[in-house]
Amino acid sequence: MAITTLDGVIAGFQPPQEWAKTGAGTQVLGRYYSTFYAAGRPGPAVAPTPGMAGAALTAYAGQIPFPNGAAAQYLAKANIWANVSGCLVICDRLWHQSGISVTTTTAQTINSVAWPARDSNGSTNGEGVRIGLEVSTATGAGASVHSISYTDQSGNAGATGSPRVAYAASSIAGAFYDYGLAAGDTGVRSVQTFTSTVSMSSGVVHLVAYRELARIPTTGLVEFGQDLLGIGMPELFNDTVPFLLWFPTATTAPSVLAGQIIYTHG
Amino acid sequence: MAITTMAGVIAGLQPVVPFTKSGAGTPVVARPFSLWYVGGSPGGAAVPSSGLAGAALSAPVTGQMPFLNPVSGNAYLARFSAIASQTGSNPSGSYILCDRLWQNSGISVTTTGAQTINSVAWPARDNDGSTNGEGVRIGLELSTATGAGASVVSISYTDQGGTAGATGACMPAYAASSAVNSFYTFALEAGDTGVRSIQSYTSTVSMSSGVVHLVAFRIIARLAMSFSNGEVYLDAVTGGMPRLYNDSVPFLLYMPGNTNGQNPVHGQILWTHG
Repeated sequence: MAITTLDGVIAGFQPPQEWAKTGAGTQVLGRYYSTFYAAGRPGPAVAPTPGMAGAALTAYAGQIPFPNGAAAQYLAKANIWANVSGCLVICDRLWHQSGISVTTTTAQTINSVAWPARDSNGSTNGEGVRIGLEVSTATGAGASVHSISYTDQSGNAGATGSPRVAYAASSIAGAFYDYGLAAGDTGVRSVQTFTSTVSMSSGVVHLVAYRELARIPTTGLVEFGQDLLGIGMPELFNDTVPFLLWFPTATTAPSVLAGQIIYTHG
Repeated sequence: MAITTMAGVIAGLQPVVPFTKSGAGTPVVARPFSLWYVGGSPGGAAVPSSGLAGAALSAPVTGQMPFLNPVSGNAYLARFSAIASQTGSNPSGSYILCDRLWQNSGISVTTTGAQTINSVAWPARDNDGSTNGEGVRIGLELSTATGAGASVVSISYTDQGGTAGATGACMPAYAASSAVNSFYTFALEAGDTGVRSIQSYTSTVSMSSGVVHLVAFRIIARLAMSFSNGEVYLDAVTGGMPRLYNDSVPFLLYMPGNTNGQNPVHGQILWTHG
């Protein structure tokens, strides 16, 4: 049942989920950094191997723990302490894939399997769903210009997404390039191809479909938190796979990231 | 019976538990600092002597924040506040309220191989009120400062699902000559979300001297000290009203955001029962 009262929030509070991650590497301002493979608590995820079409995710080792409730689940609170300024972005990881050749300079077919029904509206349509290119092994020389061909949230195929932050040669493990959308688009239903115009020489990259849940800014060395009203109490659908992106506002490695997430169930 | 309404929170509020802890030592940024042995109110705890397998902890334990079991129903955190002035212009950091489940003694700080721990079972106070270890963390707590020796420390543990043989690395990395009350936490392996038991502790290099302990704990709440000389607080709603199980042993960690010397920290805790 949906939570519509403060009493409902109180009745549904779940135990706090503590997390801590040791980020590494010089950051690029404005380029996301994925903590998915970073050591800490929960432990680091293993790079996925489902192949080009990828796998819809309902659980994955390395995610922030998420228990399904009897009916509805919401994000009720999140905290972060970081050694440097930036913004924590809590996301639901819907899909990821493997098998991209980093040296191929023509389009590579993806034809993603359907997302789980966890877009902004709890459907598979893709409203609010974003795509990122996640680096699990640092890439080599080669100033690639990469893009995706995708189908939008309404089912229109043939759109092109370019990375919001230009790809940098020798990207670190954890670098996460999110893609812009074509005019009028508000989400991605599926990915058809990935194209890199210049070889990255080496490294391992993956496409990831995700939905942003909350953003918690910090000035660094100070803990920041937001409660249910500050966060807006976003609904999390069954089998959510929470993971953390870091939006750096300084180049210092986010070597200490720690905090807490609290859910409430309706 | 659980508390499910604001009226229930109010009806169950218990008397204020005030606390004060003296400042001690110069903190290291991002290395947690334990207030377990630090004097104040409540007074400092005694150094444990339970041996390598340790002891499961149940209230009352000398040094813990006072906690009474509810006559009926459950206990929850309803309010947590603190004020801590610091020398310097930019006080920052966090106070972290935890439930202390287990602690040990007898670790040799000069031994450089694995030392058997084989911890006794935790009390049934993990995130789910069981002994499985969901959400349980492990720390290395210094009751006496250590000496020279840049040791790399780790633990072998059994995870929350009962799978043995996992390794937890120290985070942040252990630093030679660590100050008393330093509190290093351990990372988990991929897929792990808690610790059910500890099998061994390994230090690769002698720490020369000092006294260290392993501690199993569960984090209850984090309080952001985001401005100078002002009291900050969490209430029942903004704190998420975490449940504390019977016989909890609450204690405080401090997560420093700078190296300014700590002045005393004062605050309050309120529990609510229902």
